[in-house]
Amino acid sequence: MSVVISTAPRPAGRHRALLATGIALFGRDLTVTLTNRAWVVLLQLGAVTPPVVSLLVWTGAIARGATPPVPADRIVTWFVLVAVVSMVTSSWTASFLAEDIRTGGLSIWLVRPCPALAHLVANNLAEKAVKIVVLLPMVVGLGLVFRRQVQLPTDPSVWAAALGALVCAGILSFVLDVLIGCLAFWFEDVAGVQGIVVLAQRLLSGAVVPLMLLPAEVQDAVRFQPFRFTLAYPLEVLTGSGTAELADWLALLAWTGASLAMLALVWARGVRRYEAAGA
Amino acid sequence: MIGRIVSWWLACWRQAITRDLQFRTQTLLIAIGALVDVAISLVPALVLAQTARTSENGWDESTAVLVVGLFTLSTAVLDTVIGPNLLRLDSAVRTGELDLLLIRPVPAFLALTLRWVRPAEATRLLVGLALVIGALSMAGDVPTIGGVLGCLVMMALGVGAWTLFWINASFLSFWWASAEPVQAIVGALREAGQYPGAAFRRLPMLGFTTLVPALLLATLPAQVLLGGDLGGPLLGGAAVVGIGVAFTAVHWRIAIRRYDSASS
Repeated sequence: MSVVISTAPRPAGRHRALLATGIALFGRDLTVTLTNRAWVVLLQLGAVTPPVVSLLVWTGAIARGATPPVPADRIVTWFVLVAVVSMVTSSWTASFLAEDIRTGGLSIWLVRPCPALAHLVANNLAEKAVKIVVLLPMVVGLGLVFRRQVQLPTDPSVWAAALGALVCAGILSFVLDVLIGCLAFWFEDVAGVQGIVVLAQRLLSGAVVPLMLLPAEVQDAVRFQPFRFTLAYPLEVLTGSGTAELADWLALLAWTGASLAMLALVWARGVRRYEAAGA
Repeated sequence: MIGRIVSWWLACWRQAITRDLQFRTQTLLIAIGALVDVAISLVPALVLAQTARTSENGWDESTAVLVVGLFTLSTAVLDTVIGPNLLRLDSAVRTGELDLLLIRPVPAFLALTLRWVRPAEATRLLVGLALVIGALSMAGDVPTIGGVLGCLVMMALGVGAWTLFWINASFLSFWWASAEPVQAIVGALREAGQYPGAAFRRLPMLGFTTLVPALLLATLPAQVLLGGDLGGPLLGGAAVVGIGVAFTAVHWRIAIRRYDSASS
């Protein structure tokens, strides 16, 4: 099946129509997510469990005399907040998009009068809207347990900067995930690539161990790679740990911009190559 | 009956190996993924070990690698034999696929927990063994035969205790329609088992050796291997397994009574 991309001028009010479509898709996914409340609760318990285990291990080791390279408060604050940042920047789109490309399910979205990726964005945002409501009380509870060691910034500008980094991190993470899904335009199975990327992301984003705890040479080596900006960087900005200099901000913006440009290119080529199953 | 069960399980293994040989690329990817996973799990243990050298119960890199090595051995067994079954339990209960296991001429509980095998995961046994040997030679320790045997017994108890904990957590599928994320929680809790005992305070230590027996997988076996006391951990581990078996038997009966085949 060949897809003709219309080059006709955009009708007036198109942006309003797009917004209405986006809101409708968001509402649909919100409803679907809300019908699976127990699933969401368990999912968020699963998200908060790894940092809890890390907290128990690190606070236990520190209480017994271990001397980490950064103050203990920063480590505790990191692990208390990491579940929130991890959830906000998470993306689960690749396998669904790859499945749609493989089975022809993408055709439905290509013929609709909205961007073909709109439903994926809506799904991502709607699920996160529900998840954050469930996750925040858990993280607040965790913060209360470790309240003596949790150090949150009081300067609003730090919170604003962290929020900016978080939004960019969310976009970067989502776009990287969609790019992996787009590989299905060329390859039958993208699960292997996805698995390798997930493993790399676990290590290089700081999910396994905070990057600030790694030896200085390793920190320098992983400073400007993209995965750091999908998790560690917003936390570093918020907790004042690691490095958050102008060069890091530029790298974050460069990676986000480059990934969006890459997506536009890959998507245009991929859709041209797309042959819906059964066509 | 035992003969029938053994021949049934051997047939399961034969089928799994044939399947793995048929999908060789997939098997290779699983094996590579498992190896990378081991490498990644070494990172936090080594980072923590570096900071803990100065602590009162200090441990070094060789102890950290030893615990990760034993943890890799224990989890390789779990992920080869038990994991593939429990990971699909939720779907089996929801879709009624469990019916096919209940009608087989082997005990349903065994069919539920041992039917599927994933031989590719067993490659981690070699990596675990290499890590243990490397850690012992790094430390310059030669464990006694008693230490090795005690460690093996403790690991067997640990694998048994964790299997029972995992089964009971997975049985939540009988009570909840969407209990699949429980597996992520179980997996995250299991990670606690890759750290030396000196990283835990009293209360978390108690929790992770009884209710959530992650430390029985490698931490306590490592202590025994390095010449620690065997009696206490052995008695405690046996008690955890004993109570776990009794609890699981009751849970299984109640759960299976609640199961209403989705296909009926």
